[in-house]
Amino acid sequence: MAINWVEIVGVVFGMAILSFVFKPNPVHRLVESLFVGGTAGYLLIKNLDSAYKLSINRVPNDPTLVIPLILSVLIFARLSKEYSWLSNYPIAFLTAIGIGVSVRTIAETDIIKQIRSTALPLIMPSDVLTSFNNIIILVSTVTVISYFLYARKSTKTLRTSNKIGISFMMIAFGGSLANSLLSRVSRTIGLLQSLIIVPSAVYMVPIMIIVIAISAFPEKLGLKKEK
Amino acid sequence: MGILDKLQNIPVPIINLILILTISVPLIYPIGIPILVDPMTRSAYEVIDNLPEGSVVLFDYDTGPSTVVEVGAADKAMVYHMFKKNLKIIFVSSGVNGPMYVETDVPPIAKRLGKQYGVDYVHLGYFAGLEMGITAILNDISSIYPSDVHNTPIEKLELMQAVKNHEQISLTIYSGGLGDQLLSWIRQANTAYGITVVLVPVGVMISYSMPYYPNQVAGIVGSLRGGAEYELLTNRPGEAIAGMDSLSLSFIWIITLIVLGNIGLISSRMSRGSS
Repeated sequence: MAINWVEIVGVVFGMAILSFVFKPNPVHRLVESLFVGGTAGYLLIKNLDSAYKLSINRVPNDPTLVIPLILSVLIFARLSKEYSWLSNYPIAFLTAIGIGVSVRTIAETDIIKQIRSTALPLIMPSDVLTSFNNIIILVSTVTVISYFLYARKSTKTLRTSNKIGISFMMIAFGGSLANSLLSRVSRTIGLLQSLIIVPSAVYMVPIMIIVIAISAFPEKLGLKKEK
Repeated sequence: MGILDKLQNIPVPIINLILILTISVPLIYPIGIPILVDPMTRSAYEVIDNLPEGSVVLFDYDTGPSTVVEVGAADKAMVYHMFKKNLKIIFVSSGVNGPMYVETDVPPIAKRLGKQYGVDYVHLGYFAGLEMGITAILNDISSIYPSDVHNTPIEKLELMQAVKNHEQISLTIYSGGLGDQLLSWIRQANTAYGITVVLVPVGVMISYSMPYYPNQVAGIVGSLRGGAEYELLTNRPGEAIAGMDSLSLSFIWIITLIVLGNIGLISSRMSRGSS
């Protein structure tokens, strides 16, 4: 059976990350640092490649591309204390373009169409569930807006409305938290799938044992000073 | 320490260990818990299913190492579905890791279904600039992509000879975990040009996407669960369906912990109040 080094590296790194479940340890920190460093290097190379393809490579045909190139180089002025002010120019340029591009659609996307999505028929005798949902959408929208706009007002109606608004927000936060859990558990499933369901799981068991042993007893292996 | 106090102080390693067991045991011994298809996933499926043959889909494959286990299965199921429906796909990536996953995921599916690179699909690679990049692509694809990911000039690709800008694109799909990018596609593709948008977000982004459904986003295939539902709809069981038992069992464990913790908290408060 041919040794699949990619799988072996995957198992070692996967187990090292999972070893955090027991306690923080040097192996976990090493793999975490390797991941962060590797990702940063990869991002840098890919972005330089993109800049080369889109700008540097095309300058002979379109000399105006020198301008964005100069601006992009100025961003690195942040690395110098003396010349860091130069980086304000490309940032200002990018911010202005970003705002210009998004402003043309932001009002319609996040205000007009959202209001339209909230203004739904409330009474639908043929579809009671949809009616109920539409009423919930309307009430939650109004009470949450009222909470943010009139949080300091103290009339009885507004206090009640604010409390209902807070309750709806709590439900929404709960939903978000549940989706975050879905995210985290799904990632763990993916990792364990790659560890368990592989054709050459035979040589993975000893690797797992070694990684767990190193991460569980780093002091005894001389990887960490005993307190 | 009474049992009620113990319920609130279960050691973290034990919680984690049981969580890992609830995830890993069903992977080895599947249970087969039934999966119900969410209307948002069904809607995404129907949007693709109802597109006429030859329609062009712009797929932002923003999958990365941290998101692939969540959206990877849905991505592959959707690519399979679109190829089966004879749709043309243009792959782009707003994340630097995306091209790597396009190259891994797409060619095997294309080969199995007899799809040809350059004719049925193209891979243009990474684009920088986030929302500004999207705007530029929709206005003029060649302004951002003079060549594809293999350095072939795009005018030499048959599919790209017919597709120049947003006017030829029927559907855009964003798959990934970047909230800003997800919103950018809605703003620039749907609001500005009226192109249908389908999202494949990671779990954290599902509630972020939902206010836009169904008026601005035609369908949402959320996380691993959405992937499993899509696999079910395309009748092509894969890694997402295999992971659903683990997902269900681990959620039962998490719900149990929440219930136990709350029972412990309420009971200890009541006993403190009575004493």
